[in-house]
Amino acid sequence: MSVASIDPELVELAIRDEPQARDRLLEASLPMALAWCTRLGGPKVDPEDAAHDALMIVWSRIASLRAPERYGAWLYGIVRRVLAAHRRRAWVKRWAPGVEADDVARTATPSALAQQSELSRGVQAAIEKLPTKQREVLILCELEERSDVEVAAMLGVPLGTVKSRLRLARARFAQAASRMKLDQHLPGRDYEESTDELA
Amino acid sequence: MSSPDELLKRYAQETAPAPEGQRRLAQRLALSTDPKATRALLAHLPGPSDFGIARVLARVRASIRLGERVAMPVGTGPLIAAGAAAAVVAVGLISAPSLVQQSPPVMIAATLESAEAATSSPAPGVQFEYSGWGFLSGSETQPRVQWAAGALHVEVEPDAGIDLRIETPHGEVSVIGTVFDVDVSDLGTRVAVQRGEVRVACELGETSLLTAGQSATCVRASSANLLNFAVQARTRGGTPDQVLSLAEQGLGLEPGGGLIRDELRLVRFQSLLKLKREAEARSAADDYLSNPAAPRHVEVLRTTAKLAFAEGSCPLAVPYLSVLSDSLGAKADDLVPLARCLGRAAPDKALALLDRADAMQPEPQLAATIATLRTAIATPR
Repeated sequence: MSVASIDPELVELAIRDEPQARDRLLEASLPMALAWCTRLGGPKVDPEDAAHDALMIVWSRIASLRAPERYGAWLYGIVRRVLAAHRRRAWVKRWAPGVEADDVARTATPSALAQQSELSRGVQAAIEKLPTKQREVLILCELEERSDVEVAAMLGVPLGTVKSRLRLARARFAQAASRMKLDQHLPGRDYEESTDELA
Repeated sequence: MSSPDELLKRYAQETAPAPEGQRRLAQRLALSTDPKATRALLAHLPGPSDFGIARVLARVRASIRLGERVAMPVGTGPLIAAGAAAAVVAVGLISAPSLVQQSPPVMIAATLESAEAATSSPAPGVQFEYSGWGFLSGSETQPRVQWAAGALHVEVEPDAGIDLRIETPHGEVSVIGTVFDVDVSDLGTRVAVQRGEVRVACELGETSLLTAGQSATCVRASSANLLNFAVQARTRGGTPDQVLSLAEQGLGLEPGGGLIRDELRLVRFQSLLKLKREAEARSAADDYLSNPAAPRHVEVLRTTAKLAFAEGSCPLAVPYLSVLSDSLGAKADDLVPLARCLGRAAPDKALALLDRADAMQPEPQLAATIATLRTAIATPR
């Protein structure tokens, strides 16, 4: 389910703390929040842990949301801040003497590991080579197919910034994918065809 | 010594891009410039699994209920063997003194998941051995397990006051003190009792009490299983209400197209007929007849036509009789009522129907009726 498909009426009911509404809103928001955490968290963040913390914030702060129609951007903002906090925590753990860093792979379930193909792991690794700001723009614009205007509103940055980040993200992702030979999985294209398009 | 031309030729040959290099460059250019190519690769990024979503939701709900962050400690169960994803078990025992004023129960929130045999003792007097996955909630004295798939062996200490319930997709098992196994597969849930007594309430069928050595299987609530149950209930003397209920449950599972849907619709129609709920039966027949290839199309058409006759005479019956008269299985018996209904309003069509019925060499009584009708239709008022 995408955040866009969450009924604003449900958000309003949750803001008013109507019975069951907050629980239903959590249930509706969870797939997208967890998807963001999985794809944007990076290698040292446990996505389920982060999604849990983000939804706890949604639960406790939903009453402060003034514009139900902006719920998607609000939720994304929370996920983003939670991910940043989890990344900082992972960094501190890595550098604090005597403290071992979380090994996220240890918490991966057998089913999750089985689901991930080699290619899937490769794409994830390529994505994780991108700076966070470029990574999120690439995921939101290309994978979730949101418009640059929508993404600019979600991130609270000018449209031009989204466009330039996307351009850089594509180039860097292409470089990483090429180095990891992930582009072999793309359908074949002719050299001339590509260069013609560029011209 | 080579000439400048030869040197240039060699240089051109040696520095010409290799086909593989050209292809790689093309792919990289595509990735940089073509959003479709980028999306094609990004589509392989892993998303959250249903199990992950359910696990986080259970944990969020537990945190909200308890008013504190429920951790998901790792390592209380078997750990992943190096290089092989063997099993992960996460069990959290949380006390909640702030929630309950009197005799606070020790709350349990846990996820059980293991590809290989694992054990867990989530509460005193309760022992699980499992390979599969599910959720554990409730309290130490009232544990609740939602077991989704795989095998779960349960040992509950008798007379310890433990009220354990296990929900599976196909039923609920409740137990006071005993040893038993639960096995959930695509086919259903099998419960086998080794010691003590277990009450099994299947989603389909009745509640049964199993004693040591006995077993029961709750089948999956699929439309095919419900059809099977409905037919069995009818054969074994179940009431039309029971049969109807099962057929309607099966239809409620959206069986889609095909034989099972047609059969369920037929059972529903027959049950409504037996219950003498004629208007609903006719509506059920309409559903069945909406598939012209349904195996008993002609029979249902004929019965519905008779029903319509009884309910509202000709105007209601003619649509069914018309379809019936055009079908390959039409008999003289089916043509005569339509001719009677059409009568003088459409004499040519009515007489043609009577001719067709006559050609089928009807029994003497029907032949006499045909002759009388022909005379009545042909005679001007």
